Amino acid sequence: MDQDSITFGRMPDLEDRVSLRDVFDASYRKLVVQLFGITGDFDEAEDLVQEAFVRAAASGRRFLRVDNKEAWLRTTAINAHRSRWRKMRNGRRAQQRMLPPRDPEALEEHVEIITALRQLPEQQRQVIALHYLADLPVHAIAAELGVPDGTVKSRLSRARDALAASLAPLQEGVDHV
Amino acid sequence: MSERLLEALREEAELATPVPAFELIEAAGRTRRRRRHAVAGSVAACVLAVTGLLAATDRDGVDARPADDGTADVTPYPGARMTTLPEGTYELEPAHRSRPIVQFTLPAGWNSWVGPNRFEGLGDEVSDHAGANNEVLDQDPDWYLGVLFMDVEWIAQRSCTMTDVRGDDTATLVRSLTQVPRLRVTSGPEDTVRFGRPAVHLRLQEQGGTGKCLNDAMFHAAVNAGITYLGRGTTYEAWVIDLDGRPLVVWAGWTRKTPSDEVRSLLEVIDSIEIHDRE
Repeated sequence: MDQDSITFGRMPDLEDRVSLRDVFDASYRKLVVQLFGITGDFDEAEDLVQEAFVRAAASGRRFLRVDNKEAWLRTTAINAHRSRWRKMRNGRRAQQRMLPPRDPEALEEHVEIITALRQLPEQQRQVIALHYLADLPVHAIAAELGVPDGTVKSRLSRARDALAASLAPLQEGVDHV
Repeated sequence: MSERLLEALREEAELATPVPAFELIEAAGRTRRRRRHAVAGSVAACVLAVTGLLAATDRDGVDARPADDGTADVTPYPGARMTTLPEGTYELEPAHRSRPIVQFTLPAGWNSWVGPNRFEGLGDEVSDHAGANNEVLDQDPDWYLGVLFMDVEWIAQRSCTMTDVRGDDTATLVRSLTQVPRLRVTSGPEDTVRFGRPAVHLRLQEQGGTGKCLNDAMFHAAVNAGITYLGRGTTYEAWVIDLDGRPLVVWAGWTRKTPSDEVRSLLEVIDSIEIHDRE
């Protein structure tokens, strides 16, 4: 009988209803990659996206009334990431994070960009992931993160510069081949 | 250049991402939701059983008994069965002999719970098998209302503490009720006469914010019988009835989106409440 146990919402129009299964099929992989970009950790990204879908399933019809379901799932996953990060910052799991994250074998060819992404500060990595991996325009990123457009633009700009600097040796190497 | 690399990364990473079985995720979500229902249900079910306000929580049926005054049938209230009750007058008969009998009249379409309640999706059709209305509740009703009759033992206070109100008189218990976190008193406390007894009435409204306390209950009617919050905007009407110095709390609530005619129906149920001393 508490607010978690009973959720309250309007009855949806069943004919217009998109099922959670539809959203899962369309968005699961995209979201994992976006969260991979944000967290720099593929295992963590999978875990966060699965957690977001479990929460969506647990919330029942409330989720099906959400206009932008992918944004809801992404925000849920990002919030879960922030929450976990805060908890483990001073805890034992912080030591576990000293180990390098595992990358899928299929992404070996992309090690340079993945490494460059990981070297970015979290806030810059977030806007890069949302802009280039989630295809979100600046104003949509600002809305999702709850920051002004100008903040997103400046973070994007700094992140691009940092990525360019990290990738410059690679660029030179390519040019010399 | 980084844009190109990011695009290539995205394409390959999406292809390389293994997709888990959707059924497992859906089942995990369903389990989480049911667990929340079950926890709330088992907690609430303790309320009257533990406090002895209801002797009939596990009765199998709602057999009408002969009217004793020739004018109306009174049915033993069946308790937490999650079935839709027929219209009629019911009574809660406490196991504890020192507590009075509570009688009330329900229109059609009310659910048999620890106290009678109603929520979106509930039809008027009477159901018999226990748990019949769990499925309706699983559909996340848009609104919810209900009423409980309780001996309150502990009341939440600031800083995640609970104050022991066992043995407190009506005035002391009311004072503690006005200090429950996230509940704002919007009317009262006001001395009145209700259900034929001296009482104190107050209306409260649940404020925003989620609980930060491990035990997120407004009050307890027993150690393991916490009455939890219903959500922001919920209105609670409380009457603390003075039964010869020992308070009895009649606690009614309706969530923010409850239609006004449903609220009226709840208030009519409350108007029908009678408290009878044992003979």
